[in-house]
Amino acid sequence: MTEIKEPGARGPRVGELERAVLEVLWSENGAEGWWTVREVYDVLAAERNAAYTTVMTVLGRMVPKGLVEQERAEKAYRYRAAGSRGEMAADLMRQALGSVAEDSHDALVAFVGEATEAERAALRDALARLEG
Amino acid sequence: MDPALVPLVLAALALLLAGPVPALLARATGLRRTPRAAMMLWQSVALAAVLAALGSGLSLVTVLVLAEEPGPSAWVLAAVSLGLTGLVGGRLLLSGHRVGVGVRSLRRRHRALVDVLAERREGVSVIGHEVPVAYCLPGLLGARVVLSEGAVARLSPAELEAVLTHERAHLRARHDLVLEAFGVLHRAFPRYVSSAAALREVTLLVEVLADAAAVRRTGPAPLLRALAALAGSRTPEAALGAGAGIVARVAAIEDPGAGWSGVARATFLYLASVAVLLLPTLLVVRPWVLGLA
Repeated sequence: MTEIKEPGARGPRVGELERAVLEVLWSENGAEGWWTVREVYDVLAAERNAAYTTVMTVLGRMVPKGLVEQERAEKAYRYRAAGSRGEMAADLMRQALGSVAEDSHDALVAFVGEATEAERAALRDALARLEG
Repeated sequence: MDPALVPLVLAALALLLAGPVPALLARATGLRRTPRAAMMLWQSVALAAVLAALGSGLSLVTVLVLAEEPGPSAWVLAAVSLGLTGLVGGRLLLSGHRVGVGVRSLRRRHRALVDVLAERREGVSVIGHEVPVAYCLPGLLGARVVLSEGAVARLSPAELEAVLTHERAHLRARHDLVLEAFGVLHRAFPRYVSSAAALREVTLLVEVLADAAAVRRTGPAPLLRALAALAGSRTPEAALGAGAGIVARVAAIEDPGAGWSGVARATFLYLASVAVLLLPTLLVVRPWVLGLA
């Protein structure tokens, strides 16, 4: 194990499509932000080469990931983003900072957490010794 | 050894390895000079404690049931012993399941957010936020190193290299799995067992190891400066709770304990790690198992 698999084999492609789908969902739409697969596909197909079934699969997979919400309307499912771009970014930071602050190394491993004044002093002293 | 003594010896060993031994190890701060060997010892002690506890219960059952003429009280005692052993094992399994499922679902959701919101820059996910954070998201296939714009802005190229080397060391060595195992132990037995001290110390040791990787790459100064730049002071109440982690890391960065004395101490710890698992197995468990056959 010398190389870290960064995005994994399926990473970039799926991530890129999910991003494109979210961009569509974040854009203006009449029905309170709810989109059918067909509507998402129509917007996406204009700018990229994505099959209808691919869009459907990607949307379906984004539900358990918590990225989009799903509701059943008449015959077809409808989707919308879990939050606005700002809300989701805030959510991401809250998770990142929450994990750092609690010093809970469960899900994320932080480089360094919160520091007390004594700890800052220790860092300053060590740097002074090293450079002095 | 008299078979009747096996449960007693193993019970005494389990108590020793669950309470006083970890408490003493946590106080022996010199162990941080040989972090890899110290990690091995911590893991051996924890594993040996669990095995001794389970072995003690099971051997008591066999001693009672395989006696010449087990009376009713022997059967009752054997049943109680079996129940307690099952309780210990069950608690561990349940805690392992809860922690595993919880951690993985948290990571999956967080990774999904990172992947759609962060910008990929040379293998690093950069979040567009000014608050400085740097962390890694472990996983077999979907490991990520994540930085915020705020962190990138505060770091020089050498400091950035130190941070990335530190995080990649965590991912490469799967430090998250060790932390998870000690987390499981702590959640299963939060009291009466020195599991909090063990978790705290192992958490520190993985940081010391990742710091050492960064120092090998960039030297100590960029790492120390990166620590100073990113050490948070965001919430006063969180800062109050923070332990001696950074001070201990600084001490280890300044004095990595290399040289022959370091090698000698590490060798001693490795031998102790093997002995703590091997000796009880050979001297106590093997005769008991052979006696059953």
